[in-house]
Amino acid sequence: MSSLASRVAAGDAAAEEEFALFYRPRVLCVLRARLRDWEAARELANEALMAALHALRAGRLKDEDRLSAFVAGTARNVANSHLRTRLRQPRPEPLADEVAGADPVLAMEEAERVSLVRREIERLEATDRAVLELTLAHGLKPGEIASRLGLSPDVVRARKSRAIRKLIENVQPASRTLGREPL
Amino acid sequence: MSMETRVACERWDDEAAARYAGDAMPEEEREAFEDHYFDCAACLAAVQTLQEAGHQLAAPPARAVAAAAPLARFPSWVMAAVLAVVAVGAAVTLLQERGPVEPTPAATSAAPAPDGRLVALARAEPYPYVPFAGRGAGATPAFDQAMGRYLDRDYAGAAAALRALVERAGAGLEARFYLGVSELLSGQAPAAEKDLAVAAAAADDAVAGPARLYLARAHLARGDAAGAREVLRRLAASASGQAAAARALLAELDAIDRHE
Repeated sequence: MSSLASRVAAGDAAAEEEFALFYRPRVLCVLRARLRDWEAARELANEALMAALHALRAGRLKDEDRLSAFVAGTARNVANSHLRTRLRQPRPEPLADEVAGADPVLAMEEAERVSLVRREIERLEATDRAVLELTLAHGLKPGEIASRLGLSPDVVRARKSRAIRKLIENVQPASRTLGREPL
Repeated sequence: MSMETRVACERWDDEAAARYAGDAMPEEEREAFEDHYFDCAACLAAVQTLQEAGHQLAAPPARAVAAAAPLARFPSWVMAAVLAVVAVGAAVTLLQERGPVEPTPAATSAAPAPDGRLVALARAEPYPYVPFAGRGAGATPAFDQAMGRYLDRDYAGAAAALRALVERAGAGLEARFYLGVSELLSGQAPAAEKDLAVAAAAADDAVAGPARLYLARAHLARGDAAGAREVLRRLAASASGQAAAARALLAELDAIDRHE
């Protein structure tokens, strides 16, 4: 069977949908990490996917084994461009919803994740919750968190590791796309 | 939803995902990690979870429901509750605007009879359904066929097909849930109460949460406001993802009480 990249290059519409389904969550993570703006990330995800699809259609990917790295790099470029200009780049062409943005499976996974994460956060002890917030939402290191909370850095590290492990273990949406491999 | 044993990544640990999500990773490492998690399901899941956690933790609690707003373009489990509450609010407003005029001590504006309000509050939007082979009973052709009727808004037909399904062994609680919703939507509130009560006992909040919400509506459809309140109070006090929707529905009930 041809690779996903070569099928997209050959104009296979189903391959494009498959491409978007597989890479959209990944691209979204890159954009969220770099922009720290979820709405902008959501909007720019379409742009990044479209840019990657255009490049694939034009046969600009030389090594098909590097498809994921290529898409990740494209997402980084879109994020950096946005950060440089703070103006949204015009899309080369509108990306159809059914290709990029409105996949109900992805939407359901995201909704499940939101719900499960909320449940786990509500279950956290207040201190663990504070440690997690300062780690994930503010990017502070254990030493900085320790001084803010009046704890020792070792205690903060232990609480952080435990809270993160529990969170990741207990939040496992019924994944339909995570492990899906592009054909 | 299955809680399978998580397969950990051998190259990157959870701490790396946390540093990435917390924007505390040097650029070179960040790029390497991104290239990695594009093909690593375990690391992608960790990143998605921790990014979501950071996002929620950064948001004030009052935004708990509003946080789901960006999902409005999609049908989803979370949005269903939000949309249902909005729909209920709209239905009540509509009834208030169009209902018979009954001046009360508290207000001189138009106010419908309490029973009419309860019925309006019970009015439910169909819960979204997305066909997917991996979702419990959704893997069976019979379930898919029944849900095809549901999607066609043939709720009586869907209820009959789902009833036949759940009476056979092996049907999941998701089938029971949609059976209850279909019954409620086709005016079979007593049957809906029974089936939604079964679905509400599911271990998975993705089924139990919405089931409890619809169970409360089934009680309301029969005029059992006390029963609805009991279900909603418990749901509102729980860690369910539907707790906020339950609180909103309770508030609507309270508003009705205040106007009685």
